[in-house]
Amino acid sequence: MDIMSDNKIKKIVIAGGGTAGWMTAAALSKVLGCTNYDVHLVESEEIGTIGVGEATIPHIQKFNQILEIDENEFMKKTQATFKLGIEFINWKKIGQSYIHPFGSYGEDINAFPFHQYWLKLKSSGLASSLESYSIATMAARHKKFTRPLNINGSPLSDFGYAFQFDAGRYAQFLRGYAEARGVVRTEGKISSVELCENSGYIKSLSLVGGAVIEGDFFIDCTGIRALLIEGALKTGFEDWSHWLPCNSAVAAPCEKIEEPIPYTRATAHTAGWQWRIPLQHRTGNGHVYASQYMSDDEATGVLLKNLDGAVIADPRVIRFKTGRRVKFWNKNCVAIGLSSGFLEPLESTSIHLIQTAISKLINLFPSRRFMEDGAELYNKNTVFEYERIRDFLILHYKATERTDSDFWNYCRSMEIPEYLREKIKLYVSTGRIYRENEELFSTPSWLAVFEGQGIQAEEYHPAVDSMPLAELAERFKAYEQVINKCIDFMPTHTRYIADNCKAE
Amino acid sequence: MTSHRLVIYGGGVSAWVTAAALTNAYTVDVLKVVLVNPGVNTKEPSIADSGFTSLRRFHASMRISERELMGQTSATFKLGALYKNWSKPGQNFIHGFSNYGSMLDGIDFHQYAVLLHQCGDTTAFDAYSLAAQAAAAKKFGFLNKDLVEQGFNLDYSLHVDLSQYSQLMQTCAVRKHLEVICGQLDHLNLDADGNIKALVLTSGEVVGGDFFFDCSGSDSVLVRQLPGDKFLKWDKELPVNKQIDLVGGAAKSGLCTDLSVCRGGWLKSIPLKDKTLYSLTYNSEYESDDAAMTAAINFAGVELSDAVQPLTIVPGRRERFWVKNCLAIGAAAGNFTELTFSYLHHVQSGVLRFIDLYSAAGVNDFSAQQYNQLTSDEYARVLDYQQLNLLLGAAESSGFWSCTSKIPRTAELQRKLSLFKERGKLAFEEYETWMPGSWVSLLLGNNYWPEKHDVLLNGCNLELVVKRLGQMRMVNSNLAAQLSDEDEILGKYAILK
Ligand SMILES: Cc1cc2nc3c(=O)[nH]c(=O)nc-3n(C[C@H](O)[C@H](O)[C@H](O)COP(=O)(O)OP(=O)(O)OC[C@H]3O[C@@H](n4cnc5c(N)ncnc54)[C@H](O)[C@@H]3O)c2cc1C
Repeated sequence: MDIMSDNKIKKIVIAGGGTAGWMTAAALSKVLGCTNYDVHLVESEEIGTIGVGEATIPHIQKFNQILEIDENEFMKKTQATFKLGIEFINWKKIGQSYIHPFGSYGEDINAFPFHQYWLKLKSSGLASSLESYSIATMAARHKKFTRPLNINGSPLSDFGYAFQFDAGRYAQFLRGYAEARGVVRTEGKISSVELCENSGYIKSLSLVGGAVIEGDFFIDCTGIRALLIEGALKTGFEDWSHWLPCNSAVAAPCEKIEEPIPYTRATAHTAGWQWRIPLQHRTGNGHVYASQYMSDDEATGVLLKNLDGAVIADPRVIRFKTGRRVKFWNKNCVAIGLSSGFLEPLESTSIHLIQTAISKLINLFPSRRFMEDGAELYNKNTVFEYERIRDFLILHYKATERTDSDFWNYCRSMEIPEYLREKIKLYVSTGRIYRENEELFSTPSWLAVFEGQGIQAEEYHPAVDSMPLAELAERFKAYEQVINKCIDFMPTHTRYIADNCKAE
Repeated sequence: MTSHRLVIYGGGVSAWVTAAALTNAYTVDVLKVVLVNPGVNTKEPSIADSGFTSLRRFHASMRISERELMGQTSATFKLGALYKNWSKPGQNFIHGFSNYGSMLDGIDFHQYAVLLHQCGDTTAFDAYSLAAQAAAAKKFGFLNKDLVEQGFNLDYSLHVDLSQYSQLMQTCAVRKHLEVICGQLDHLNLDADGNIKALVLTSGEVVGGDFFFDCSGSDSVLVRQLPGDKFLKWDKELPVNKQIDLVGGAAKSGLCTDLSVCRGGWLKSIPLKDKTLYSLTYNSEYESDDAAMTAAINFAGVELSDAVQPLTIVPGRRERFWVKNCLAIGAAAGNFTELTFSYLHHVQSGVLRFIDLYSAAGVNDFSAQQYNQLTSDEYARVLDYQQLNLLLGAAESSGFWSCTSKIPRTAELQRKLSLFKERGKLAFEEYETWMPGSWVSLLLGNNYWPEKHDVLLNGCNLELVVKRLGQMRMVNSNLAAQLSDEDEILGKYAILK
């Protein structure tokens, strides 16, 4: 008998059918294939999904490509809109706004980052605002959109985009995809998880009504409940609430009152912030807050007061705790989605973390004999990802001038992780932004938030001085003009959707 | 009707081309053509010519087999001019004969290029020219009918050896009953009206005729002696006065005439099958003869030789070309500079215009007036074109190039430039040697971009435009790759005697 096939995992069980469950099922069915593996998914309609999670970052395009999903088709089916970035309002101080765009600022000059030159020009009073050099930001401000175009040297070829979609429809869409490729879905509520006595591995899931689902490998996509990784395996949780004190959200969609804009909005309130995600058919909203600073009723009141259209569904309160699972892969179980930990949706990173979890899992996919061999690497990389995103999120709270509430007073003066502290220090003293390894957020993202929230560099790189100021000013002006031209020629977001991916 | 007698004076290219064209156009019983060859060096280009596409039409009208002609004149196929380091240091641009891009939705292609440029596009403009792509890949070929019907073209001309070309023209003319007399002019016999009755040669021989062609080169031996003749100098318009011609070995590729700027002026090379003509045209105010010689020798990669001396050139034209019953052709009529210039075109266009206007009834003032007017216009536009080349040569700013922005321009050139700068439209005059497309590609390829795009493009689908332009570039490079290697096709095509 063939050793390989004997050792091979035969049955993969995915517990949970939210965004994480169905993304995982879809990817496994495509990449591993359901002829090689039995892929099962269990979900409970009674419990339902978390129902939020509608904004993404550009990396999701890669996911679509691997799955060979036609982007326009997927957008039509999920009422999706395009997203060029996030507008942050009232974060530095009330009344102020900036956009964190998907794309760079300007272009490198002599292999030095654009922003170094910008810092110099700014100090001479000759620079325009940072955002005038970002095509994604300018397009967002003008409600324009086009997919990046293949034009040598043009800013039009140099930005990213993501989607804003209906989470429920997205899971449905992926479910159709996965089932068509052989994933077997079982409807039912998991009542218990059975472990193997010797190994402590998960053996099976029992459903209410008596059915038992056995498997070789389990993926916990049960959301915040974390039934397998925590409930059964007691893996443990590292709490980050002291850095990111928000622990609740109240969500409510509303009617759309204008054509959807190509960006998400995050407006800071006194004890948290509110998202606004425009879709083709409606607008998603939610207020993320720290319950120790604001009651649920008050938070709901703030949300409703700040909706721009009539509310469509009753506001729903969701509780969470920010932090991560001590291990993401434990025994024969990997936690993907909210079961793996929670980072608030300020930078729309959760779906991305699902995606990277899936690709890491596929890369390190185990066999029966070597069930946990990939776990260490998997866990190490996931911790890194989580922590770098965490630090980026903390920056938004830490870098503020707001003194109008206890919440902001706490955030402004809290201790922050060392990595973030160093990063801020380096920028302030030298204008340099150091990117560690494959850290998700790159230079332009840090720059956008630093500058947007009042962290200013005191110096710039001395090499910048080799270019005469007048020439520099000229180049910047020309670049700004090019961006304006590009914006002139971009279709409106509405028009672009109508031409490409209007939902039927 | 009595047969007319036309007398050509000269023994260089312009004389033989004139003789061949005239004998080809008229049978001997209508017009008798006589050529008086003084047997001295004529002051006119004599080494190599970088033709325009009109050259091939001329051959076709003469029923000369291009394949034989190419074999006999050490010719290479010419796809365009390569501006090396011309408008921007380090930038090469091939100005091909064939079209750049194709119209989209009834709007000129270049408007789209302008639009994308304004959006930061840095794609080289010659990516849209099949000729440029082919030349860069050292490829050449004849497009099949299908491709031509789809709107592709690969127009070409030739680089030819001028002394061999003269030989060939001589053979053609003699075959068509040209009478050749050897002898130098002593003086002219004029009638009371100032018309030439005859050339009196030093031998005492009198060569009478009804009409005379001055093909004596820039000495303009005949017209100079006619009443009211005047030479208009272009010393401000084309401020160069020296030229060094050197002949070196065969170039790597024959498909382009190369142009590049240098301190004193510019360098040009015309690649023939077996050799290359290198010339440096300069202004001695900005470069000494010695320095120019060193530059030319470095450029040509040849040994220093005492035999080569800088030639003095005097750009300018006769005020009138056709005076009484005498017509100046070629260098005798006007001297342009060796910058995007074809001497053969210059000569042929003069003769063909004569044939067009010459009435069998003989000479009349109307023909002369017409001829002079049209030719003046033509020259003015050629001058514009040469000046534009100088204006675009921004890769160098010292020496000669420090004066190019101050060159006086014609109102027509000024209008062309401002209209183009403002709106990307090309003002096209009558009797232009270069078609609008050529002007446009010369401008854009050398980074002279309009400030605004055509308003007709407002609201166009940018994504689609980018896609279609990308397709155009791809088709060009694919097509170019499928053509034959230059050497191979030249070897097969040109018939050697
Ligand atoms: C307020 C808020 C806003 C967010 N915004 C964003 C955003 O903008 N962008 C982003 O990328 N992410 C966002 N997220 C995160 C995102 O919603 C989640 O990452 C994503 O929806 C994945 O969730 P999940 O599939 O892990 O969990 P869920 O959607 O909760 O799915 C859990 C699944 O497990 C099943 N299940 C649970 N218990 C049982 C049981 N006992 N038996 C059977 N089945 C069971 C459920 O039925 C369900 O199918 C947000 C999260 C919150 C809380």
